[in-house]
Amino acid sequence: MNAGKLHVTLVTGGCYFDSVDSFGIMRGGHLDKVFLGAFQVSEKGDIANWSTNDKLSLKSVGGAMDLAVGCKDISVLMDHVTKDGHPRILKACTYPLTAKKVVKRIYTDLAVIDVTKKGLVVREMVEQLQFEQLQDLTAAVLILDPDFRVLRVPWRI
Amino acid sequence: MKPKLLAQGIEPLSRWQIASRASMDIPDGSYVNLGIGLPTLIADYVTPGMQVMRTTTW
Repeated sequence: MNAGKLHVTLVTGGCYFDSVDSFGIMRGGHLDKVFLGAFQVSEKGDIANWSTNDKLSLKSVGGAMDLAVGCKDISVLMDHVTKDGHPRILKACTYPLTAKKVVKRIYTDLAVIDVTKKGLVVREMVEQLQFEQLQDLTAAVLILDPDFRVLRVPWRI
Repeated sequence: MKPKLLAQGIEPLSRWQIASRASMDIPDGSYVNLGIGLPTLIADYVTPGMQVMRTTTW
């Protein structure tokens, strides 16, 4: 079972290691890429992914803060808006931050967005979605890459 | 949001499609950490020959 309580199968050559090694790998800068889930991401690349200020829900920081300082290439995967339709990509996060200015790329169900010095650059959008619609669902200024592509993913499961 | 978009013929990606898209940006031989939740699904799209280290930490 993994940390997300899902059953896993170890492939040949795979191995397990304990938390001490795990944090050593993270903080020691030995990771090439990190993918995280998040509640919110700001236009500057701040990430909030450990608490929604909801007193009833369990809070746990996990290793996200260690990953954020230990790896230079951090991407976020999340839905573009909340279940109630509120934007998750904001000018500034309203939830407690995990780390500041670390996110490089955001993958959502509508677009692939890069966090750059110029701002949030939209590299890919799903078919038929208009840039204005995407902007309406985002609480930060988006820039459309002139070479943007259609975000098309074949079903593989 | 979804019914509104679907009515316009716009289909948001599924959770698995988001993970699949992210998996395309993993170079061969890289050491990768997958967080809990959506990112965990990326492991389903790692092709044989890819060397991925996954330290899902809670």
